[in-house]
Amino acid sequence: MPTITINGKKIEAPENTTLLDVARENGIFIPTLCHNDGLIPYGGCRLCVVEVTQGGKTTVETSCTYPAEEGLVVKTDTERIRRARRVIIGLLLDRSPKPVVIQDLASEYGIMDRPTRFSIENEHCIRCGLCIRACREIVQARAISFAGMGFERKVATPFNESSSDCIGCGTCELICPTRVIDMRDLPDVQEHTPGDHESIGPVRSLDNWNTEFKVKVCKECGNPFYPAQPLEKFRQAQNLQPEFFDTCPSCRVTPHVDEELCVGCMGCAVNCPIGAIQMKEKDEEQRANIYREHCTGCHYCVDKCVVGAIKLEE
Amino acid sequence: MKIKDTKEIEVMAIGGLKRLKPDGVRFTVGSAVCGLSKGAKETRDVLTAEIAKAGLNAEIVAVGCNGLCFAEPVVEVIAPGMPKVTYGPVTSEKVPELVKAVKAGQVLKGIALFKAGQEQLLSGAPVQYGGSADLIDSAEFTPLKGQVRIVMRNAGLIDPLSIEEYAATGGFAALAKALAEKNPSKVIKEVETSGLRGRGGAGFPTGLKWKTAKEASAPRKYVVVNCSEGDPEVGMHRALIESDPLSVIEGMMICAFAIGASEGYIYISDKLTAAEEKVRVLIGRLSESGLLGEKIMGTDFSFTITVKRSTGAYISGEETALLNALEGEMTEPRPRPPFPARKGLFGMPTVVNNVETLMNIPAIFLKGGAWYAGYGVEGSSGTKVLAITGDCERTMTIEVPFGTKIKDVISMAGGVKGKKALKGFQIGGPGGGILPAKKSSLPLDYQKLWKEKTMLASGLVLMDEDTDMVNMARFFIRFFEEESCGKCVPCREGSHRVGEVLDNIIRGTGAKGDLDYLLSLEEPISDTSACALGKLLLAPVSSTIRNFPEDYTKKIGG
Amino acid sequence: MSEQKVPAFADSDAEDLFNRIIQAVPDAMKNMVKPMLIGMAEQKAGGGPITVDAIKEMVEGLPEPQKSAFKQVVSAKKGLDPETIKVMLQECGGDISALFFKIMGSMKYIPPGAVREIAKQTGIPEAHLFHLVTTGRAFSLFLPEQQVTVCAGTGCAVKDKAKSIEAIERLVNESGPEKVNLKKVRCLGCCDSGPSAEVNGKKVALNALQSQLETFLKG
Repeated sequence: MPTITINGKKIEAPENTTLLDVARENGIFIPTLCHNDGLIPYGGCRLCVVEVTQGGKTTVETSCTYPAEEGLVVKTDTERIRRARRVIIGLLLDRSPKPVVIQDLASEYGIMDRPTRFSIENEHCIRCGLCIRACREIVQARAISFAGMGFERKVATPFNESSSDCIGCGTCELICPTRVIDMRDLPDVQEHTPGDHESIGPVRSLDNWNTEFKVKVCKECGNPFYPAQPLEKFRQAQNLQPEFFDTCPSCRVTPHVDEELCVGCMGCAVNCPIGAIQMKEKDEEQRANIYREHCTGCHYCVDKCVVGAIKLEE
Repeated sequence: MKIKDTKEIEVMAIGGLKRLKPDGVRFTVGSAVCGLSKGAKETRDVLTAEIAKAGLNAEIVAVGCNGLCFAEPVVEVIAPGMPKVTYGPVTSEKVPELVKAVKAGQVLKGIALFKAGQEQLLSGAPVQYGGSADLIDSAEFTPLKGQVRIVMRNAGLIDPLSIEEYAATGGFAALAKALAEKNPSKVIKEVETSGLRGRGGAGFPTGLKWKTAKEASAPRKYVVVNCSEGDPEVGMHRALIESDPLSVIEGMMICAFAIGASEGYIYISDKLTAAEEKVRVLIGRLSESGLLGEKIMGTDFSFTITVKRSTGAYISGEETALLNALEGEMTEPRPRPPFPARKGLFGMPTVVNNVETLMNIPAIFLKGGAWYAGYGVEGSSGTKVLAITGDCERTMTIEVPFGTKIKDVISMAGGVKGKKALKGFQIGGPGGGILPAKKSSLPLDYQKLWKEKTMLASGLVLMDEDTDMVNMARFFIRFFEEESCGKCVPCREGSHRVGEVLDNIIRGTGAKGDLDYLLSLEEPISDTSACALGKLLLAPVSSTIRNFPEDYTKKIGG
Repeated sequence: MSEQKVPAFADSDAEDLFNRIIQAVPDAMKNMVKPMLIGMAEQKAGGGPITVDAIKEMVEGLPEPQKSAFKQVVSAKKGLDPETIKVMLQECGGDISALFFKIMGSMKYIPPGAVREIAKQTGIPEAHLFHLVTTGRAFSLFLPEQQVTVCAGTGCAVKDKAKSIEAIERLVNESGPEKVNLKKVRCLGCCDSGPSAEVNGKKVALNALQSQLETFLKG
C-alpha cells in the first residue's frame, strides 16, 4: 500500500489506484471533463492536472492516469495548476461557450465575461471522447470514432453516414457532458411521397450520427419498445426463434412445465442461460421447476425439452 | 553462404574486402535519394557504357550518401596503384573524361575533391590503397574537417545491400562477439559506460532504457526502431538507412540479445520507400545467411524482424503513439507512466530506439564504451549526425563530436549562401525554436542546449538576413496544427488559436496584447500537453518573439 | 414497391460497373434508386442490352452530387471486389495499415466500399477503420484530378521564405480539394536545389507551380 502526500496530507493509497481516485476518496476535489469511473482513463481534457514531485523533480501530470506510487508528493491546487486550468477552460470556452458544464468551470476559475480575440465556432462538442469510449468499452458496439486530426477532429460515424454498428441504446447521449448528443423517440413518422403519405410508425432518431431506426412494436400490447434492426442482430446472434422479439419484455410469456410429461433429464435446467430452472423432488423423482421471478421469457427451455414437456400455452 | 557459428563472419568479411579493394577498378556512385535527384542513375548508365567502350576491368557499385549532398552525384574511384579519389559532381557529361583519366592512371582535375590513402575499419587492419596523387587529403577537405564518422562509418563506402561488404568493414563482428560471450549484462554495461543518449531529441540514456527493459520480467519483449522521421526539415534518417541499413539491424539485434527480446519491428515512414525496400530485401538475405531467424550464428539467439510502414504523421514518431500504431490502435499517444521499457508493445517491455542511436551500437560494443565516451564532452558523449540545410552554401550531412561549436559546423557548410549575414538558425526541429545568430557560439551539448530552451534532433537549418521570422514561426505553427492528433485540449485548440493570432499579425490586423497573450500560453500549454508535440508547441513563437522582436513590432506597429 | 427488374447487360464489365455504382448508393436508398438507374441505363442503351457506354452516359445525365460520386466509380480501376480484398488481406498478413497502402498504390484512393468490405471480412468495426483512414496522412478517401506534391520541409520553406507554399495552399483550399490533391511532403530529398515540387510525378519549380495552378483552377 503506497503512501503518498496530497496537499500536505499523508495518505495510504490502495494498490493500483490513480492520484484522482485517491484524492476523491479523501474529499479532495479535482475538476474533470473526460473522466468516468466506468471507463479507462483517457487523459484528453487535461483539466485534472496536478503537480507531482518525485525524486526532487516536479512535473505536471494528469491525476486521472497517474498511478499512486510510494513517496509521491502531490499538490492539486497551486497557482501554476490554476493558471494551467484557466488556459484549458479558456480554450474550451472560445470554441464551446454555451454548454453549462463549460460555463460552470469558467465561472469557478474566474474567466466568465472575458473578451475573446477569436470568432467563436460555437460547437457544443468538446471532443472529450466519452461517447466513443462508452460505445467501445461498455456497449462494445464501436459505432462511432474520432475522424480527422487536430482542430478538425470530429466525432463521427463512418463516412458520416448511418451506422450499421449502432444499436440505438443511447449510452452516448447519457454520458455526453455538454448535452450535444440528442436521441429522440418519435411516436409516428410519416413518409411523404407525391400525392400520398405512408405511416412508418415509431422511429428512434440519432441525428448526430445520421442514424435512424424503425422501432419494434409489441404485438400484444402495441407499445414500441426497441429499435428493430439491432433487435434482429441480437436475435440472429443468439439463435433465438424468429418471433422472439415480436413481444416486448413485459408481454413475454413464461413457459410452464407439464409434470406428467417431464422425465427429469435436466436438459432444460442445464441450458437455461440464467439458471431459472431447478429440479424439485416429487414422488421420489426429479421434475423441472421454472422460477417465474427469474425467467426472462427467452424460451430456450421450450426448444431444449426433448419430450415437449415445457409449454407456452396454459 | 550460411553463417553457422560466430567465427564464420570473418570468412564473409574476407570476401567483402576483396570487393572493397578489388584487382580491377571499383567505381562507387552515390545513389541515395539526393544522388538520384541530381542524376546519379544517368551517371551510372553512361559509366557502364564508357567502361565497356574503354575495355576497362571495372565494377560499378551503387552506394549510399556520404553526406556531401552539394557534390552529388559523388563518384569514388578505387583503382590499383592509386589512392581512393572522390569526385563530384559527376554528371553524366563528365563521365567519358573521367573514364579516360582512370584508364590512364590519372586524376581528373576540376571535379576531383580529395584523396584517401587508407580506409579505417571498425575491426581489423585498415584497407590500404596504393600510390600517390596530386590532390588534397580527405582530412584537409574543409567540409570534412573535424568530422568523426561512427554512425556514418559505411555511408557511401559500401554497397548497402551487400552483407559481405558490411562484414568487411567490421559488420556483425559486434553481434558475433556478444553472442559468443553469452553475457547480456556486459552488453548493457558497455552501452551505459559509453554514455550514449537517445538521438531522437529526448536524449534519454540508452543504457538505462535497455537495463529497465532487461530487468522487467514478462513472457515477451520487443525492440522497435523508430524511423518515422516526421521532422520536416530533413531526410537525415532516410540517408542513414539507405546508406547502411545493416548497421541499424545489427544494432537492433544486439539490443534484442541484451534485453532478452526475440521479435523486432522497424517502423519506417512512408516517405522512405527506397530505404524500406532495401530493408525488406536485406531481411530476406539475412535469413538465408543464418543471421536472422532461429539459432542465429548457430547460437540459442533467435530474432525476427517485421517492417511496418507509418502513415507519415509526425505524431507516429512519438514513442507511445508509435506503439499504438503498431497495435492498430488510435493514432494518439498513451499516458505515461507506464513507460514503454516496462509496459510497451502489447503491454510487454519494449525498447523503442531511434535509428541514429542504434547505428552507434555495433561500434560501441566492438571498441568498448570507454572508447566511445572518449569522444564528445561530459554529459554528451560520442558524435551527432546533423543534416545542414536552408540558406547554407553547401547542403550536407555531417557527423561531429559533441562539444563542436555550432558556428564551426556552419563553416563546414560554407557559411551562409551568397555570403549574406546569418540572422538565425534552427536546431532541434520545429520544437527547438529559432535561435539568433549570436547563439551559434553554443556547442553541440545536450544540457547546454536544453538550458537555452532548444534541443538536438536531426538537422541544422540556417536562415539568412532576408528571413521574416514571423513567417517562419507561422510555418512551424502550421506544421504543428496539421500534425496535432487532437487528443488533448491544449495542443488541439492551442495550435489552432496560436495560428489564428499569427495570421492576424501577418495580415497587419494584430493587436498590441497579442504577443503577451501568446507568451502567456507557453507554460500552461507545455504543462498540460499529453506529449512532446504539445509541450514544444509554443517554441517557434516564443523563441522568435524573444529573439527577433523587431520582426513582430514591424507588423503590429507601435 | 415495384418488383426488382433483372436488367440485361451487354457484358460482365458493364454488369460489374453497374454493380459498383449501386454499391456507392447509401444502403437505405438502394431499393429505391436501383430500379430508377436500371431504367435510365436501359433508355441510354436504346432498348438493347446495357453497355458500359450506356452506363457512362447515364451518369453524365445525373444531378450532383450523384454525378461526381458515380463518376469516381467509373474512373476507379476495377478490382476492389470482395475477392480482391480477401487476397490483398492475405498478402498483407492481416495488417490493415499495409492493406490501405496497397489499395492506395493501385487505386490512388480508398473507396468507401473497400472500407466496408474490409470491416466485413476482418470484423474490425467500420468506425475504427474510418478513424485510421482519416488520421493517416498517406491515405485519401477520394480521387482528385491532379496530384500536386510540394516539399514543405523546413529547408525548402526557408529558401522560399515560406511564401509560395502559403499562397499555393490558399489557392487549393479555396477551389476545393477535389480538383487538386495538395500533398505536403517533408523533404523530397533534393535539398541542394529546391524549393521543390512535383505535379503528377513530374518535377516543377515552386514559383512556376503557383502560376500553373492558378491557370488550372480558373479554367
